[in-house]
Amino acid sequence: MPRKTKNMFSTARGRVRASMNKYNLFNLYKKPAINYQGKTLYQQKWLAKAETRAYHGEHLTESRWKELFKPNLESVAQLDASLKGVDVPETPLPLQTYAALEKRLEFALFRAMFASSIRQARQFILSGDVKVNGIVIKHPSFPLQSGDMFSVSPEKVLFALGRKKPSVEEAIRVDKKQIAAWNGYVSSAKSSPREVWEMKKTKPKSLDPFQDSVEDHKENVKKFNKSIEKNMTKTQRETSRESLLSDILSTASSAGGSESVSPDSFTSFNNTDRQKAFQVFNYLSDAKHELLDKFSVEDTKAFITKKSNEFATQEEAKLALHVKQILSELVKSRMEQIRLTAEEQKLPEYVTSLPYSPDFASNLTYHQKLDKDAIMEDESKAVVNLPWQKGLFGRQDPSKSYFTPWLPRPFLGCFAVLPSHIEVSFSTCHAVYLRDPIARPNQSEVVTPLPDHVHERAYMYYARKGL
Amino acid sequence: MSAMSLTKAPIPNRLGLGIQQVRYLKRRPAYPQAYKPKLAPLSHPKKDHSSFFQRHLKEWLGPRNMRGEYYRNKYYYPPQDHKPRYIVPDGNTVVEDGKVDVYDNRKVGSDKRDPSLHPFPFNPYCKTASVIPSSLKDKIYEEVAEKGAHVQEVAYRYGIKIPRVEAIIKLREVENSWEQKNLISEELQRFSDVMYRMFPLYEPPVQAENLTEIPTPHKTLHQRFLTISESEPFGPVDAAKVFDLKPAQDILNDLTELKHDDNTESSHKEDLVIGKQVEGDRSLFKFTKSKSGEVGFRYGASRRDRKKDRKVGFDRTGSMVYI
Repeated sequence: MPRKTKNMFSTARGRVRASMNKYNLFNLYKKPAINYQGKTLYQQKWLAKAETRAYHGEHLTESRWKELFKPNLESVAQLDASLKGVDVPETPLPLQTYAALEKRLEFALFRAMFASSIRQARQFILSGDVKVNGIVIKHPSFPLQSGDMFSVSPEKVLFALGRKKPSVEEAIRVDKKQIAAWNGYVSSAKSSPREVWEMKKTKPKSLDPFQDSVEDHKENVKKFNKSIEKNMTKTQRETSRESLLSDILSTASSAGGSESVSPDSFTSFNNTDRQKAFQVFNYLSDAKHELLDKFSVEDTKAFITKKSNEFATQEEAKLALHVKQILSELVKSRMEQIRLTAEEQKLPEYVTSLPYSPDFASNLTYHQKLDKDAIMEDESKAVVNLPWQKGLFGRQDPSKSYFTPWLPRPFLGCFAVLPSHIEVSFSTCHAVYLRDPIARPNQSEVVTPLPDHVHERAYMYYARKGL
Repeated sequence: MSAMSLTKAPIPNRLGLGIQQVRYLKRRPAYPQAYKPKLAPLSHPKKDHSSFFQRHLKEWLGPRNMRGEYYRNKYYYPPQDHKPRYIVPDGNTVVEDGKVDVYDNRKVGSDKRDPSLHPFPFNPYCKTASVIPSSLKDKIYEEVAEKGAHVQEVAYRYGIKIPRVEAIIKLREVENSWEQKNLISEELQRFSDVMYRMFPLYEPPVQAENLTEIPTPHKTLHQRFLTISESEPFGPVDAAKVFDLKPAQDILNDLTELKHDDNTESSHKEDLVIGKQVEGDRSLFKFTKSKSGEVGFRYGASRRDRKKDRKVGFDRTGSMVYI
């Protein structure tokens, strides 16, 4: 039985606990420096004992802890430094005061970040979710030895380190708000797309690393580039000798007669190609060819696909040969031109914002409203399909005990300390206990928020020699 | 407790205390000291009875978005760039709207502290370990398990201690078997990725572990006095002799020597005497040698089984037994 507790995370008392609780972080954040001024030695030791015991095994009774306490503190000597004769930094030996607790299974579980507090680690052990070397151990006090492999069922770990799963009611409440906000955004985007686009661009960056990550941007840019490529191949496929010829002739006829046509009339071609297009026109107009009046794509195709021996006269065959030659040069240059413009339009990978396109608003669709009563009756009836969320908020898979899709619990980053004495594999929720934590010059492997001078006094309290 | 002394009592940073020391003051609530706390405004001048700490907490957490996240609090989301952002108690937890978040790693609490390495403001001796990149783990596994390299060799090459190398191989085997059985769900992979990106990455030559560490011999933790003449030279080897220890160089040589684990264990056969089974005997007797005291109960010896604090151990099935 763990010790009974009341109001562990009192903000007024401000003790720091071995827990990933939000209030605990607040207490750690605002913790004043420990002050010994005006205190007798015994008062100092008492204060140090109270502060350290609040973090180290507060669930153990004092008599149990006194049984476990060992006055011999473990440290290591670094041979290379002593051989070189360099100055070795101080070894924080007092921080080993509570090292005896760290070999207990419950502590190792919390240090390996498989549970969000030591009390939760105890619950996992007692419910038979923890194995040591493949055997279910139901004793939180089980002492680990170096080389022991322990594991927790992944569901429990995801529950402990994940965000809290909302109830159906909460999820509906959140989704109603989200849908209302989305529909408002869609309607304003539809009414004034340019302004909304600009506003989106100037929006401050979110602190959430999961929201618009670099990968998302890269994905968007990739999609954009792909669509450009698709357009490019489409226009390239449409470009052929007959289409260009028909284009030239239609431009010429719209310019009106062979006298008023000049190289500059062919505006759809670039400067060097205009001459060639003009030459094609000249060839045909000099020969007074019938194509000058009938220049649909079918007619030009017939002209181009006709073989040289099928033409009525030798001159016409010769003319067709010249025209075809110039046209194939034009096609080649046009293809290159299309490719270059597409390359120019493409975005490099590091770009975070896409260029404005007026049809972005028309692609947005309103989301239908949620029917609360129907969803409360049967959760599977909920249809939520927002760009950032599929399924009910946090309940994509309601059978799981944690927020789905999984998200880390709030303020996890502040509590995540990778232990030096345990090797952890998060993808299988297994860990190997390498050794008992030790102290080495300038480092102590026992994780503790309290400074060495506090541990020193706590050690004195328990070693009973300083009394 | 002679080895430790009370040298590091911090000088109180509140200078406003009177000269007269008051010993038996009532315990003071844990008000913040390092910064000036900001308080959330009262919602109603008379009806809102929230306390100092409640108001401070509200301000400290910052606003919530519709998904219930404290989206402007810089500690709410875990870092995902292999650079931890542990707390810096300077009173600024909320990043204001429209402002770029500049991570202020001022050294609040202790001068020696680096907030991307030391999780707690007052304890610079506590560090987070760095996570070994999965590519390096793959390499180690390949070298040891597939190419048959010696663990000690690999440990030396990458600056990782032998037990850790062995643990990496053990865990990689578990991971491989889980992958084969398709046990790593999408959610678990997501969790694993998030955790992996939260810790600093191990870079072998820079952060290499010290492989010459040995447990400090207890004899050296105490002072030893010796009378020698002034002209007599006295070095570390002489000190080792006084403490009755091996010199450091010898221990280091032992450590660095490649140890070949002998699989040919001394084929120690247990002395076994099998009794003769004569006609009519129901059982065959086997006799093995054992030491008295190690098996059974010694006649007349005191036993702890009726004491209140009996010593406990665990048997092979994991259940607790009294020793």
